[in-house]
Amino acid sequence: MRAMQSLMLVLVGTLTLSAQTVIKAAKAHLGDGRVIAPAWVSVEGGRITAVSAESLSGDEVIDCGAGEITPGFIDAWSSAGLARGDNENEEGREVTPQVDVAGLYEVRHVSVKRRLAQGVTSLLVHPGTRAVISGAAIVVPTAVDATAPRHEGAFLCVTLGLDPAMGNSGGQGGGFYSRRPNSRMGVVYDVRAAFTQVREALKSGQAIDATLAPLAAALKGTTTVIWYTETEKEIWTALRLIEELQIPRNICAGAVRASAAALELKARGVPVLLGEQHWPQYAQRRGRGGLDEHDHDHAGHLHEVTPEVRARLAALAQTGMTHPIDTSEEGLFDLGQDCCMAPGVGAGVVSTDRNRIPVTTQARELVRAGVLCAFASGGDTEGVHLIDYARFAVRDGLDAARALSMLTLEPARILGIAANKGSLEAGKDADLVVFNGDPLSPGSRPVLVMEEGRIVVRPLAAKGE
Amino acid sequence: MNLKLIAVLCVVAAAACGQDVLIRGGKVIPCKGAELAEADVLVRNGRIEAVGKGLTTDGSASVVDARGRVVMPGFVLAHTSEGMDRTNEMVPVTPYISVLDGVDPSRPFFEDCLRDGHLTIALMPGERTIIGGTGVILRPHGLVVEDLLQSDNAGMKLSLIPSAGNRAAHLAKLRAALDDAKQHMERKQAESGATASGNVRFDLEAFQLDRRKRELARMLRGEIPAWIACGTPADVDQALRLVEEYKLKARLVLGGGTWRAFPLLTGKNMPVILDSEFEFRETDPETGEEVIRNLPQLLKKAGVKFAVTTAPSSLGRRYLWYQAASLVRAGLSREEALAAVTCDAADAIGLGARKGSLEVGKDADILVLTDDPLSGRAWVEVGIIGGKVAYERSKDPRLTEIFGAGK
Repeated sequence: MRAMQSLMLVLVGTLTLSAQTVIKAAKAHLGDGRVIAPAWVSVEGGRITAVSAESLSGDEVIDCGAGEITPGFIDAWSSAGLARGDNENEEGREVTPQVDVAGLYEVRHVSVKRRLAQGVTSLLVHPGTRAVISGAAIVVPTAVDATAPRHEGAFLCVTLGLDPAMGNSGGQGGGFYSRRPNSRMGVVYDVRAAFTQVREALKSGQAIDATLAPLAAALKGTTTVIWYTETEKEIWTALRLIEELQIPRNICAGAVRASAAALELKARGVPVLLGEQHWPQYAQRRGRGGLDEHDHDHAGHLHEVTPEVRARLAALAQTGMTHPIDTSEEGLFDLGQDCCMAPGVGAGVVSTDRNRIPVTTQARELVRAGVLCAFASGGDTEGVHLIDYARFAVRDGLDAARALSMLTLEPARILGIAANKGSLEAGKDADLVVFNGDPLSPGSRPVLVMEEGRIVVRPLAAKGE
Repeated sequence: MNLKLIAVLCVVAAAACGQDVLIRGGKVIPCKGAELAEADVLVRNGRIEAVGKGLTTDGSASVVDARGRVVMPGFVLAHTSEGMDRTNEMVPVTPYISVLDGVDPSRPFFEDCLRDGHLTIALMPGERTIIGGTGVILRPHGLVVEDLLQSDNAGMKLSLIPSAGNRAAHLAKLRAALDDAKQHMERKQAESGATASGNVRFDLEAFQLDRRKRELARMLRGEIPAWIACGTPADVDQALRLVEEYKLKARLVLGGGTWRAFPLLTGKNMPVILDSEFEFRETDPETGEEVIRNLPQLLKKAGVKFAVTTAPSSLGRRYLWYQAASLVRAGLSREEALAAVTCDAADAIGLGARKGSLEVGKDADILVLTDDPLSGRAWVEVGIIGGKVAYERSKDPRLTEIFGAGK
């Protein structure tokens, strides 16, 4: 019976390669758009020491034959490693900025193993979407028992839309189960009230309650706010709140139909984490604000770019509030800044029946508009392989190198970890995946996953069973 | 609705497409036989007339330029319950209903099937009742169900997956229904032997009884197959017993949980249709570790040919080309993977003689793809059903809306 488990994956948790290891493969996709063939990657002390198309020597050479190497994938919006998945959050209150998923991450959780098997070597883990301000997300190396996350408190999660309004009894209010907001209006009110309170306190020099300190950090720009949105109108709401509250560092997650807001997202410098919901699954979901027929004509004024909107966008660009994270590599994929002002791109293309725009097609539109974006799994731990988003984006017309970078370098830049993660480059962490062929071909699968120099996944078949 | 009339209409529709079609210069993947570079496919009277290099025809033929493209048979979706509003009537035994009356040709499902090259669709009732009713074979092209119809009775759907209550009771109800229909059949047989005397009275009760049991009787006579859905290894065992006992012509629709019973199917030559998820995850009861079962490999090891299905709400699994690529990912060969969505799938639904490969004499259900079907980048450029061009990507309003006119 055991022999049948040909796809069972082995977790080699403790093996550390101190000596120099060289991985040899037919090709390497470096993550920054470059491809080398053949490829040698040498690894020592958990870091990449050299990447070359010419032979490198080492104490141990792992020959991957016709395999192709990519950087380890970064899942920038996930609930992996949490016992209750994306329902983890504290629901006793609506605003819980002091809640932190650090210490809750379970490296042995099945969702973590599934991510590793897909080649995900870094994760952002969020505390759920059922509270309005649900708390701090952490960024962790997937296979490390991360009781001490690398970027603690750097991300504050805010949920817009109906998720936090679910699960209460509604009705007349006053009862125990109807404390929470019952509508989008109530959700937004809670966000605005919490931030405004802290902003006023900061202005007047009053002491801020310790539980609200993360909000102060967000207003000061030392913490990035991740806005979880489910419908297009929630993206507009997020953009309005960002402007109103003057929050400097922002990310938009979930982001269904983000391509409709591409112009504004670009102008505000808000990067986008796409994924989780996709056509037509999204259209079939019920009760989460997705299937709202009345949404369709929302923000209809943007369907054509009027002179007023152009002027407003120009003014926004002048405020200097562009995304402050890691823009050094801007221009790497220069797709033409003027794209974002062209009528039809971003807005017009999706003016009808937006529920049916595949997320991978949206990626193409966002990239064209110059919005920094990445694919992320959201709460989904089982069904979809992260690499499939890139595969379908290529089918939908996105450049292959760009599609791969949306799982590697782009999320690294969005999360501010590009100095160590996201590409195969000497000096960066040795996070890599070897596929048994072209990673963008759906017939290929990972045969080796290395995280910070350790081999964390290797199917038994590859070990000669 | 008169089913015979529908059948006649289908024949008329097939005969109407008289014009020859020449698909010229593509890479031809016949799915039976060797692949051919820069070859032609000639279609006449709705069927494949010839496959080869340098084919000619008179000037009246319409020519599809497939140079730089890939030409292959239309994909065969061997089992689905999409395209109708409810997949089951909420009564446990309903052999007398047909999905024919539930099909809604205006559903996006059919539009997507056409766009994705799923040119033959076996539409069956769902798995939530004991006897779900009869299914149909459709093509995804037309405004009314008669346009779509390829076969008005593909067989009877049985499910061994208990929706409520226990397995024994579920099985007992199934057997009771089968025995009842059998007795009814025997009674009818005996009656037909007796000569009518005196005034023959129309017996409304008998008529209605017959109407309710007719399709089940046809299944028991082997005129239509039983499609038996199985969720556990025990279900597969029971299905094989039922087939033996009632002498059924059967196809098995297998969920991932049945994998331990795959060896029971060795040498049975039973058509098998595998669920859309090819990795079955289960928890080892001793270690608590998740173990992944590679279903295609396990079926291959058991020597079982199979067709695969789709999951329309999934990013990838909604496409049969993706499913074929996933079979390659699971370790099957290119030929085996393509067969599972073309010729083996046609065999599994009993249409192997007409569908699933580009062989002379078969129905001209042909795809022109932009790329290799397993590349992950292929789009259906042209879809030909029964010799008629049913789909052209350049004229697809939906894709134009998403991608703009350039794509």
